[in-house]
Amino acid sequence: MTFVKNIAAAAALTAFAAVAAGKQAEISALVDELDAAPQKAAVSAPAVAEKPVVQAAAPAPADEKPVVQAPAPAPADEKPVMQAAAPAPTEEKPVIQAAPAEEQPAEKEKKAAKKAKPKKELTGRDAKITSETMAYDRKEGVLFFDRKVYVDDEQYQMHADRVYVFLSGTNDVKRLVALGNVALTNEFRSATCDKAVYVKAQSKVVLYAPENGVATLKDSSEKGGTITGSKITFWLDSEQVEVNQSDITVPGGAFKANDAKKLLGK
Amino acid sequence: MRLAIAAALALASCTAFAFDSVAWNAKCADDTEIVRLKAEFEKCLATTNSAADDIELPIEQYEDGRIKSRLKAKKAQIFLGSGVVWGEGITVEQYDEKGVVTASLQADSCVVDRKKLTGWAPGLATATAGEVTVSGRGIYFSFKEEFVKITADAQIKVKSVHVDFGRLL
Repeated sequence: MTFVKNIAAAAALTAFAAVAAGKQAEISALVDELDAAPQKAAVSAPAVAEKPVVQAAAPAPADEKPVVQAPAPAPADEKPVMQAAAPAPTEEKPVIQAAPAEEQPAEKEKKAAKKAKPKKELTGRDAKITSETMAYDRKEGVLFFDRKVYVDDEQYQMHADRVYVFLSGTNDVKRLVALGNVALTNEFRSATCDKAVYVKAQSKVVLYAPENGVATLKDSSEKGGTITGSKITFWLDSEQVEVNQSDITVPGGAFKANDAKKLLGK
Repeated sequence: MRLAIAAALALASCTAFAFDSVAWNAKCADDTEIVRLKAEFEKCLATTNSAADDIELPIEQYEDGRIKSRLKAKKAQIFLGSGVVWGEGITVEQYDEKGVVTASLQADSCVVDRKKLTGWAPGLATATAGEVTVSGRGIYFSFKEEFVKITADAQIKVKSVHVDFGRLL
């Protein structure tokens, strides 16, 4: 009996998978389109970087493999670009990787003191999202906010023209796509772009520039600094940032190792 | 056998993120049913003459007869010909097979089509499903599609829906 059930379950799963896989090509193209398009589904994604790609890496644990930056992916590609032993970058897309600098003892002390500072306590209050219109599809697990979208979270605020939130079965956000005039702010920093994508499974945020502009990450605190690029990818867990067609401005002159990291407040 | 299950699961998980944005956007933009229900609401308002107080009415049932969704109203009238129910002081609840409330909607007034399993609340309304609470004016809902659309002043409050943008910033 159990065996029969297993067969039935497997057959059902296989059938579902087959149907889903059959539709996959059609659907995944649409998902890519949604991800890639800064303005409605038909607008093309930002061009592939011609300028160098800059990657700032956080200090890696001793046993961690070195991070090698693969050639810049197509903007719509959501696959992680971090690969060990990836092929060497091409001439058109050279890669600059900021290695962690040697830290002076005083600097270490400063960092330790900074770490010791109590962080702003979070109350865990509900996030509130307002917009002119909204749709909630429980079957698909999709929330869609349209026109004058404002997200008021304890840790940040966001404005956008449209926002799609994809929920898991337990109503956790698994993916968020904000489209059009996206502005993210908190106490000291801000980001502006035409499209922002958050993918929880990859712990990644990608900011896309508008067609004739740049995505910007700005620090308005004392240390200041701005990163602009056609696409800014930030891996939240590894605290690495990749900037396509980058332009980085930091106070005090030249770009140094760890500056991007400092700029991001890490 | 195990391999088949594993393969099926792997394929299923690969396709778990499939989302047909074009079809979904088209569904969202289609206001045909809203327009129809708006007209029904106005018609009900004009013709209501024997509304009953404090009524409870099943909307949907499971195959075994257990109630899947129910409308409670302080005042309501059933229009037998069209299958439409008009009411004031409305609470609509959906239940799982164990009878536990899974979603609910409160509205000042609304019209529910029991044949099409759709409804329209022109004024202020609030819908709750799990930890998600949405509110606004002009709410369309479909029991069958498990779909809610707010046409003005939309607001949502969510627990545990935290996007790590805070860490980026």
